[in-house]
Amino acid sequence: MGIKLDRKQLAAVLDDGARQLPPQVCARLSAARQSALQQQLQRQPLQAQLHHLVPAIAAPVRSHPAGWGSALLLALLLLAALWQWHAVESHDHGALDLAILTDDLPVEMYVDRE
Amino acid sequence: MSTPAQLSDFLASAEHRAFKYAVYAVRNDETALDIVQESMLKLAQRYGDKPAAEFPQLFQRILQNSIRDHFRRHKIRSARFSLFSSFTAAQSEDEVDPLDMLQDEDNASQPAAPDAAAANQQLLAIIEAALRQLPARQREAFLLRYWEGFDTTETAAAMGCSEGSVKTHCSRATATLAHILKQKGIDLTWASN
Repeated sequence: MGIKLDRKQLAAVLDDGARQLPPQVCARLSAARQSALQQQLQRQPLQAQLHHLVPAIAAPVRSHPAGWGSALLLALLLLAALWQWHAVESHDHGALDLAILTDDLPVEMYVDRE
Repeated sequence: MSTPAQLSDFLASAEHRAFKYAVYAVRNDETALDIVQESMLKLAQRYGDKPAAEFPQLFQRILQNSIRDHFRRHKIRSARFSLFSSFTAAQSEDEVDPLDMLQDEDNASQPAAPDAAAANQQLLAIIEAALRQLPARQREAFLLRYWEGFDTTETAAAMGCSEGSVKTHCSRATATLAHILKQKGIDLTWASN
């Protein structure tokens, strides 16, 4: 063929290929785009609510004299509860793993739980 | 913060290329469409509120990860069904060699290209066939650098690797492509620089 191609020409040839997609592929891509845009639109109101919610919570904490202390205490209590819950969970997993390894699973393990 | 119109414009401008990227990688239109759709949804759901200028890199990152996820899933399925692989039909005989479409002294069965559009089609077919022969990471780096127009840093970010790796992948890809295309009478002018 005896053709010389630089980067721009190569990109242009590939662009040509991308422009010549079959109509059914273009239709599927367009539908996928619309679906993705719907997802973005659904997400935006939630974010807008969060932007309003954070100042609404922060305002009384700032204004009350014991606001920061109460908030800190609440955060510590939450952290302790989380740690306790995690410890119980990991213990349960250990017991379950042991039961599986020793082939000694209790019957309730086979029952779906709500 | 981007608007829905900005995301729409970006996706409209990127979707055809993204489909081609996926087709080069997975070699199946339906699978490629699924991958592009999945990538678009992830971009909108997770990063739809990012500035529009960040969309190209984020989208490429998501797309490349989706392609890799597809291969991981495929690998697991292949491992499960490898016992039955000898019963599947060989497809290599059905593959079309773009060279068969070209007319030269050895192949007079095809009519000569009537116009530049047909010549471009042939050129595209040869380049795409050569791209498909590249290893996945090399093709990824090459396309991001020379088709998408990303610089080395952006390409490294999109591929999740170092800039050094990008340079190595690009260099090897360019050398391999130049070698393949040279055999078809096409010179990549920057490959010898």
